[in-house]
Amino acid sequence: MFKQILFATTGSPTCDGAANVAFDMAQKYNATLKVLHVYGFPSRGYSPFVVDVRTGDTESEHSDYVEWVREELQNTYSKQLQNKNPIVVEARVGVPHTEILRAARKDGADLIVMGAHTREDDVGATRFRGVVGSTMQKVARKARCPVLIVARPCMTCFWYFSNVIFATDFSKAADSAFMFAYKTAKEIGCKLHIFHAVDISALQVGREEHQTTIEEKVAQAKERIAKNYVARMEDFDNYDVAVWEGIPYVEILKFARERSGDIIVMAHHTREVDPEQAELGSTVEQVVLRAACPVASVNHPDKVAEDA
Amino acid sequence: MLDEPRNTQEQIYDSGIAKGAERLTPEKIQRVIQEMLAGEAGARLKTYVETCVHCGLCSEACHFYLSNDKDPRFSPAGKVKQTIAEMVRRKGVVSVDFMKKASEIASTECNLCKRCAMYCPFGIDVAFLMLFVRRICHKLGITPQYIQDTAHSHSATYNQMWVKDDEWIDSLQWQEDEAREEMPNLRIPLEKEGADFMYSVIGPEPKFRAQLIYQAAVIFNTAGLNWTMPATPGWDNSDMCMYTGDNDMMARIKKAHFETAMRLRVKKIVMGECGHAFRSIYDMGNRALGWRMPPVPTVHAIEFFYELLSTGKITVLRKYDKPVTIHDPCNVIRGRGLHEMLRYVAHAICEEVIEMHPNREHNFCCSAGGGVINCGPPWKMKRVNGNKVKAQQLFEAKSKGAVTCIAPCHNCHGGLEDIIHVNEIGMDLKFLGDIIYQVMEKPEQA
Repeated sequence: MFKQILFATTGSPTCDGAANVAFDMAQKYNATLKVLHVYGFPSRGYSPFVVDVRTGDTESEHSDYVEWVREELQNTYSKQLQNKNPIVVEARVGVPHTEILRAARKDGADLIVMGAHTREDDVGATRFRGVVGSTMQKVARKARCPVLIVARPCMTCFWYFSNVIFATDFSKAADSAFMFAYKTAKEIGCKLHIFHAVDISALQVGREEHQTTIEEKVAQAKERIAKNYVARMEDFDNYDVAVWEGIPYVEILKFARERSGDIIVMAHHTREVDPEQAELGSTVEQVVLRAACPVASVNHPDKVAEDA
Repeated sequence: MLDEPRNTQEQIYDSGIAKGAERLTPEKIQRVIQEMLAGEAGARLKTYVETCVHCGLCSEACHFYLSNDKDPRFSPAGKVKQTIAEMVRRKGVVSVDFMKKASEIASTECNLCKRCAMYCPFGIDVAFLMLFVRRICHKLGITPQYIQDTAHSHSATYNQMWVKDDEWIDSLQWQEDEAREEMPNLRIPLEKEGADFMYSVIGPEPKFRAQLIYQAAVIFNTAGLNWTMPATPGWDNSDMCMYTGDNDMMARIKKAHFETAMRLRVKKIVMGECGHAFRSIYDMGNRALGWRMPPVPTVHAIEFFYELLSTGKITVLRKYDKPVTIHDPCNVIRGRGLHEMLRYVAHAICEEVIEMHPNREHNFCCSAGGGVINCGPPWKMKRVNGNKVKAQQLFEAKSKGAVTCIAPCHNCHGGLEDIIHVNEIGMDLKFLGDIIYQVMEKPEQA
């Protein structure tokens, strides 16, 4: 299912949940795992010196220093590195999301695994947007492969998942998310829940909608699910369909909790304003922050198309 | 008076200056200075040094002077007096400590912004004098460490960031891939001979800010232009050797750049939004090579965007709706007079433009672009505190409603970002390209 997995890590305990998932999955599917740590930010004026993200000190991009960072990483993950599948540990300098995307492209990664928060000392405030690494957002939107975001320790192994939740906004990107959700459910042999939330958040600003209008929208959504997704599943009947109404991210979270979702698969809701600029963040971000299970963001067909 | 401490930050340690000075002897200093005075300095230096009447008109022009409580030692004439004038007067018989201080003054207390030259009744070019001091320091091996290291990258790779040849090509192809998501037929043409223009950028773009190349590609493709980028060294237009006084390397880098454009037989070079690189191609590098004007016609992004917007090659769908202010980068405004074009572009893409004062060719420098920011973290606070006037200017623009500051120059971004951050001004910084990409009319997605 996966041949090349990229685990992007801060190397801090914040990423331990993501680390476990990444190493386990790579081992299970005998995939090559690249552990990538962007250790330094470039300085103003772009000199060859960088600020180490963990120590805050100014360091050079010297090969000795890179080697030292690599060793540190190897110590951090020493237990997992005994796994039998091929593992490559890499440390580099740059703007994290740029380097993660660059590495994913170079290796042709089938999956990127990452944590959601960038700094361990921010844990107390994780629910505020300011501390969510925008790295995750940028990577999730642009990556050509699914991005699995693990914000909390994941208790169940991927291959023992029993409920895959696919949340759609019917965008083009959501087609790719569906393919990944469908393939995953089929591969693992578990149930696929196809879900859509009719957005009625306009109610909050006083734009009332008649109940029959809402019900019509719900019915339309069900039709679209049947046409867009159900029709594409061959001899796979372990699924259900649900359409609720409300604020999309809240409904997605409630639905996932009710169905004991092990993973939520979704695309970035494309009709929204640029998530970097949205004040409360995108639906994906809200779901990632609040969900108890990992969230996979899939926006491109490259690695999940039927023939991929 | 010259021996009193200048300020509390005088003790800043820079390994490039300190270690280099350990190797110096008074004899070597004397020999190098005398050689330079007899050779490269020529009549120009003699005239400048002998003409200055210490009238002080340059002082009020300098942001370092204004921001350091009008301490005369920070005035342009004062900086000349503490460095090159003294070397001339004493015929090079100066101490190692004198040279350490001279290196610090020339590299970290002057941005070569040439604002003072506009106010000098004799037109004395203090930037030339400070660069001459940097050149002597280069010959003596006492250049600040950070900028020297960047200059090393230029010497070894012909780009600023140690970008490897394949890394460069791969970054362009990667951005092409990404942009094709948005424009399926988009190309970033490599090595296309006979294209209308070669687009050149600075090293940090492929290395750290690949998004800028993406945006440029979308703009050029939307406008339907016939362009290319080189796949060989010579692609980088930046030049830190110009600022360390390593004129030989400066000339070599520019030669590679021009020859790349000539090999591709392009009609002109279009540069990204970088100021110092423009100075290097349009003013200093070409002249070091013996070309009064660049051998290949060269335009800065401001000029190019002006052309695209005024001829309707790109059209604006909906103007940028936040009020903006404009920072005029010295190297393209005082250096090339692009201020009215910059305003044309800004007004064409933004709803509301709130001017900073003073502006256009009288604008205060960002305190970064003359190589000062490239002297790195040790000098950061001295640089930022040495530009309180800019902070004041930004704050005034903000109080009139400006939310975003347009700065069409990489170094200005770096310098202004620090000023905004340290002084807690809270303003967005954007390139023209950022806004054009956002507001322009793009072809319907297939």
